[in-house]
Amino acid sequence: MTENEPNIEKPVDPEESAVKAREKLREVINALGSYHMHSCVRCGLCGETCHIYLTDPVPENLPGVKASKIISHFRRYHTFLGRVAPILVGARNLTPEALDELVEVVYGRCTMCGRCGINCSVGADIGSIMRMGRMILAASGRVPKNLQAVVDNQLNTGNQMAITQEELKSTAEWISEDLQHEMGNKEVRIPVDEHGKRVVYLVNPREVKFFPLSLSAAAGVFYAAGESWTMSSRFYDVTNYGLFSGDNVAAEEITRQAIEETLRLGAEEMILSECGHGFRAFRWEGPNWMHKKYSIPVRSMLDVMLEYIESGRIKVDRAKNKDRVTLHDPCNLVRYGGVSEPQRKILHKVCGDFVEMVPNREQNFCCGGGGGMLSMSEYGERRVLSGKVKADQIHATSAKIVATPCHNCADQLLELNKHYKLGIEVMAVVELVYNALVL
Amino acid sequence: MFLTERIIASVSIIWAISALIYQWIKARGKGRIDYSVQAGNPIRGIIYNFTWAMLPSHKETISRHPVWFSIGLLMHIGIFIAIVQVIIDILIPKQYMVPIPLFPNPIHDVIITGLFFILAIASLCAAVLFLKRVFSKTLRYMSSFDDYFSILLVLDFLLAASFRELRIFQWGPFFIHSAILFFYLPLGKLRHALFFFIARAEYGSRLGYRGTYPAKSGVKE
Repeated sequence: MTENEPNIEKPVDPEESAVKAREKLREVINALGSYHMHSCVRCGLCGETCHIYLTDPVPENLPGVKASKIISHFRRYHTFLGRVAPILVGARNLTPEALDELVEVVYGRCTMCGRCGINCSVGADIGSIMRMGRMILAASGRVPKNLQAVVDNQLNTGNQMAITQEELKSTAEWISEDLQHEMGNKEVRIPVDEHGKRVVYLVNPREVKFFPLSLSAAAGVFYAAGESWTMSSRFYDVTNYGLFSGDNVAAEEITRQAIEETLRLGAEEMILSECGHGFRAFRWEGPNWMHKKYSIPVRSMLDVMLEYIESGRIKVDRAKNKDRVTLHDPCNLVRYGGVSEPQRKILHKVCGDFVEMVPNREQNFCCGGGGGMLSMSEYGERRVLSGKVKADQIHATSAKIVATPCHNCADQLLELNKHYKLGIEVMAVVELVYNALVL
Repeated sequence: MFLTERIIASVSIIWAISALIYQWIKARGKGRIDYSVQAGNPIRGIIYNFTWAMLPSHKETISRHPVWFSIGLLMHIGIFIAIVQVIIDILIPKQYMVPIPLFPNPIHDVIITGLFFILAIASLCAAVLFLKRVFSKTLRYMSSFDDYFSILLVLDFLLAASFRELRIFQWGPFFIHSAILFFYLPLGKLRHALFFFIARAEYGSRLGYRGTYPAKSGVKE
């Protein structure tokens, strides 16, 4: 397999897979509507809104072109001229070959960051069109293998890294011991599977496996705030790769597991660790995948920390974070999630020198690691290249620390740091809050 | 006068409106119930998406392409005027046979001359956009027959409206040229005449619901 070549399991019966794709297209159109498919006018002005196009300006990377590949199939089966004279409107049959071709377009050339959509001259939500494309491909069994493996891990083991319950418990124990030593207090710890706590805290398994500092920091902040909290050893994963693969059935199941576990533990609230797509999945898409309202509130840790600071439950001293800090906005948290201000308010309170990237908030550029791109190694070269836009933004701030409330973004930023020699440290917001704690 | 042509134009407009409404109903799908807990205000999101979000300061496709955006805008202003023109012509057949009562002749002439210039400029803009689609490698890559044909129809419609202002065309030919545009409107990309508003409203509503819109005072490029 060469770089950028799709790495998918070829369907046993290609024709049958195309039939499933056409059925899914109809189902998706019925469920979500097709306003945005009808509205694209192929003006070609969206190129510079996309980090992938900016770093590799070929027509294939233009958001409108990528969306058109999906819209062409929509037109073929759901518009009059598409049915009777497809060539006139660029409508294409949804064949096995067309589906194979679509894989590289929707998984390999788009992170579904949505920046093109909010800047679209018409107002077409191209990010959502691209996700419809992923839903069609998922139905036809064409999810890239590595991405599907993550989804399978979540479904089979409860977390994307297949961490066992014992491993989680032992990690929680040694992090607790380190934290007790660091804070000089035997009471601070990471509670696991404790019933009747007010809060169940979900984390990215990456925190458990490779980067425990943010989990440790969260435990410190919870302790300082006197929070009643616990983690589950079974379903504690804040991520949901069903959002990326386009498999809503899997996405629903992953959501259900965590919600039901939170209820089983008797908690009043589910708090999500800093994770862009995890926030979007649990907060916004999850109830719609499950077709019902949650019986408990779901909030981001950012909202909780801001509440602690503003209510005086924790005291912070911005002088403890002296280096210049900038903030990377995760697309799914800010653009699709609506959370742009809590992290800024927090950073203003806990950092001595906080500067914004330009552009920021809903106009931020994707770091290149979104849309499950980090798990699809076949697109690794393009991912790092597309991250140059973000690297240039970071470089322009002269910041030494890049805070980002997303672990996928953090992974990509760490790689960009190495590749583009940025000389930065990448931190979660909770780590900066922990550093600034006054106990 | 020109009764047959007037009827054809009327039918074409009724067809366009009916077909667009049908498509709107079909495009809605089953309708979405949002089970998530609302964080913002959908109405404010819609208002924002039709106002501030369309300013160059908030939309990169405008700030990075001011010339192309202006050309597109001028063309659409012309289209709007021409559509109003054709509707008035259908409903008030004798409007130009006598001076408009409210205005003395010189003002009437100024209005007509002004409309002609706007329509002529809009026609020029449509021609430029057609040529851009022909000569731009990127646009050619993403275009089908519909994309070229639609802009040519618009150009034809605008030219017909311009000629009608100058009385080069009588009503008859203007009605026929208009009818061609309206008959095709719901079939190809021109249907964005409706879906521009619906898509922008839906997107604004969704982002408003989530609290993304109205966008916070971000630092812009």
